[in-house]
Parts: sequence; structure tokens; C-alpha cells
Amino acid sequence: MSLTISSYVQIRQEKSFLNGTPCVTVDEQDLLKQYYKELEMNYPKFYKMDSLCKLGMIAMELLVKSKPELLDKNNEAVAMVFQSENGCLQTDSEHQADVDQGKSSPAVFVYTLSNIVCGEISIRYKWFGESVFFISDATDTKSLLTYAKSLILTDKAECCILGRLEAFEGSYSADLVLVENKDEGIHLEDLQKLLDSK
Amino acid sequence: MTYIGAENIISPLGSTAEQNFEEIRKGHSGIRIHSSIGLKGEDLPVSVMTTLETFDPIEIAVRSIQAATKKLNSQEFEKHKKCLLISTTKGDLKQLQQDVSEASLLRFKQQIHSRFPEFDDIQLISNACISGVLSLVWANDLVQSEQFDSVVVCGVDMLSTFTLAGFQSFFALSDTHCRPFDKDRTGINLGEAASTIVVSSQPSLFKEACFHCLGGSVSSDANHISGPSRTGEGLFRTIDRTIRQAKVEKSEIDFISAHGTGTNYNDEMESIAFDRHELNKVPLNSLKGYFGHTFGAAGLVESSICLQSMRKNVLIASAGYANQGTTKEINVLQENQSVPVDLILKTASGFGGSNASILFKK
Repeated sequence: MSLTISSYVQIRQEKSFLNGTPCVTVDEQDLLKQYYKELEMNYPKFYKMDSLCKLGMIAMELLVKSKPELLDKNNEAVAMVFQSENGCLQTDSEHQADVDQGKSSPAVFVYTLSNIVCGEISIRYKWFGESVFFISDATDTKSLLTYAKSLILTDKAECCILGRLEAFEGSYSADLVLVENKDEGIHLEDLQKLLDSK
Repeated sequence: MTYIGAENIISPLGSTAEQNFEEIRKGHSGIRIHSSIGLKGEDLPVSVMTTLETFDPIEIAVRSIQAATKKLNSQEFEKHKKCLLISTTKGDLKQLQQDVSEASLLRFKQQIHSRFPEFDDIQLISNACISGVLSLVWANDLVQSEQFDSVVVCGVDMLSTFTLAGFQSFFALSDTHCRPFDKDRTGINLGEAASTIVVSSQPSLFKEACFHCLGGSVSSDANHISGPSRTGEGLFRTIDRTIRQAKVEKSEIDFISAHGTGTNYNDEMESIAFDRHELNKVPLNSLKGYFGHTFGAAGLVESSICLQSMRKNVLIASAGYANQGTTKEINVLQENQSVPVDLILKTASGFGGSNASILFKK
């Protein structure tokens, strides 16, 4: 078995990249909404989401547009392994601010769980496969690869989308990397270099 | 296949898995009504250590990990390539009122790691209410794929106004003791706990008897982020995948340790998934009536009780259950049962439409 990277998407604030090449660029102001419009996502639920989910949805839209065959696979074939340093900390502090004022909103509270981004993506693409959200610093690509390998090696998934998502205090960064069991593609050992290239 | 054991639970009912098992075997619950703890000062039944927000999740996690690793052969454990896997939804929420960056789960993970430098790696999974079962599934996969010799899995979550207020806004909390799967159920009770289990490639690591972990899986409902699927889709699929991978027959399953939160929709969803698998006759319980819902700790607490059930061949009654309350008939235990317990299916479901399941075998 040989696992390689067949496609990857990166978002750094107003700039996005597909396989390392500049892709969509938007205005800095309200940039998540700009991406949504620019990509013609036509998915009104987007507006209700917190920034971590919005960022994940945008990055996945870019990846799926470049790899439409992802949508033709068996609905349990695609696994998502996502990591983040801050997770949903932005929404945590919003909910805490509500609570401090004696309020609480289900529309905010539900996003105080980092894995909701996997749930939102699963709903949009009707994916019933494996997913996990874990907390790690940005240099820890070893864990992403460990998880991806074990999912594909144990036949729980046919391919795996590795994700690194950060949405905190107006700073947005996303990487989604499609790992498949294919001979041709980028070597997994180059993942860190690839992520750090932007 | 891997080996599993050395379980520990720290809850209001005790600080060992054995104490906790004996307490719930006698029908004791950690749930008490606490005054003025709701968002608007409501009295609410919860299972907490003493008073709200006095529980230090790092200290309790450390105690639980130490207690579990004391049940291992230390000389052998020293030589193992080992990973510490933390399961939590919110880490240390007290920090959120002071300094947001100090409240990050990354910080929480680093603080626990600093207490256990002997581990080669530390991971933290935060995956809503399935975090605990999912962590055990991962631990099994990490050991099975020979990336580690042993993985120590610790689940921990404290209760705070943050969480209580959130669940109040969903109208998901019961104002009395929760009654999972019962027709008169009115919602969840929340709780706090820490619990640790060790997964290893070597049975000789464990001082006491250990069991087989046959692994598990995760599946998404792909339906709604806060409402359970009406067809039990994700739960049905994860059970299906777990059973197929482990190559066991459904008829071999002696017992199901269900999630059973006590809300109308969740318990109904679980009954539909079990019914679709024709597991209606298999004895089943929810332990939420003893511990409340302890989030990231729940899967570990409940799996620890499963291991205790296998040690003692005693199945624990589902607290709060009296009358069938789901459209599909399932075999919810009303009394403890002394029977041989060889194969257990443990399940969990949570926000995000996430579901997980795992199998333990004697």
C-alpha cells in the first residue's frame, strides 16, 4: 500500500491556494462571507455557523471543486481527521460572555464543540464515514499522518482528508489535504513542508 | 485485537472503579438537587464532586491516570512506547472567565503532559459526547497498527454554568432525576468525573485480569448538528461497521452499554438503531442515572463499568427505568443481573451527529 497526497487546499486570510497555486482571493473585510459568495456555495445554513465551521466549509468547497470525484465515492469512504490549536475557543468566549450576562443561546452553544465542523461538512456532502477532531499544535503533522494511516490501513476509510483549521480573533488559516492509496502524488513525508509553504 | 484493563473512575460515588461499581450495584446515585445553580438561579439535579466549579479537572485527571497506571507492571510499562490520550469536551472552563488563551485545550493538554513526561506522546480528542468511546477506538487502532505499545486513555470534564446554561437553552435538562429510555423521561442530568483505561498490545502489562478490545468505529448521521437522526442512521452504521470489522455475530453480544441521555429524541433514536440491528432482546442499560452525563469522561466511565461487569459477571440495572418509553421495544435492565458477561457493545452519540461504538470481550 502506498499513501500519497493527491490534492490540497490552503486558506491564509484573504488568499487561498489550490495545490500551492493561488486560487480565489477576496477582500479582507468580512472575508468568510466573501469566500462564500465568490465560490457560489448557495448553502444558506452557512450564515448560521460559527467562524470555525464557516472556514471548514469554504476550504472543503475548494477541495471538492478541485476533486469532484470525492462526491461519487461510497458515502462511508471519506474520513475526516481534523486538528486545531484553538478549536472553537472563539465561540467558547462568546458563549461565556452570554452566560456572564445571564443569557444563553442554543445557536451559539452548539458551536462550543469543535467537532461540529465535521458534522456540518458531513451534512452538506452526505458523508457517513469516520471523523475525529483533536487538539494539537501546528507543527504536529505526525499525529495527522498517524491517524490517516491507521484509518486507511484498517480499511475504515478509502481516503482521508487531513485538516488543520484555525479561526480565532479574526485570524483565519485552513489546510485540507486529501490522502489516497495511490502510487502517484506527493509523498506523505513532505506534508509539514507543504503546510508551511504558505 | 488489543488488551484492555486497569480501569479507574473518580466520581462523586468513589475514587476507584471498584468503589463506583459497588455503589451503583447498590443502586446509589451521585445525582443530588443543588440549589440555585441554573442560569436564572434554578435548583437542578447534578452529579458533582462537592459544589459547582470546585473540581480541578487537571488534578482529578492526574489522580485518575496515576491510579490506573498503578495497576500496571511498572518495569514492563517503563519499556513501552506509550501515548497518553485525553478525552475532554471543555478542559478547564474556569480559565475562560479569566484569560481566554489560558482556556485553550492545547494549554490543558500541555499542562497534563508536563505532569507525565515519561509518555512518548500525548493527544487530546475533543469530539463532543462521543469523545470517550472515540478515544478508546483510537487507542485500539494506535496499538493495533503498532504505533504504540500502550495507550493510557483518560476522560475528564467538569461541570460549570457554561455547560448548564447551554443545555438549559436547549430545554434538555430534567428538573428531577433522569430516566433514560423510560416513558416519563424529561431530559438529562449533568455530571462531572474523570476515568482512565489502559489499552496495550501486551496482556502481561496488567497486574489484574485484562480483556480483549475488538476495536470500534465512528459514523456521522449527516443529518443535523444538534438533533439525533430519526432513523438512528449514524448509530446503526457504526454498530454495523464495528461488528463487521471484529468479525463477531450479533447473537454473541451479551450486553449493550448504551448512551441513553434521558431526552425524548436521543433515547428514541438509539432504540431505532438497536431495533434495526435486531438487538431488541439484548440486555441494555444507561448509566446516566448514576453519574449524570459527564461528557468527555462518559465513554470512559461507562466502559470502566463494562470491564467491572465482565470481572464480576454482574449487569447493572438502568437507573430510573420502569416502563417502555421508546416506540421500538428494547431490553432495558430494571434489576441487576448475575450472568456470564463475555461480549459487550458500548455505544455513544453526540452533538454534530456523531456516533461511536466499540466491543469488549472476555
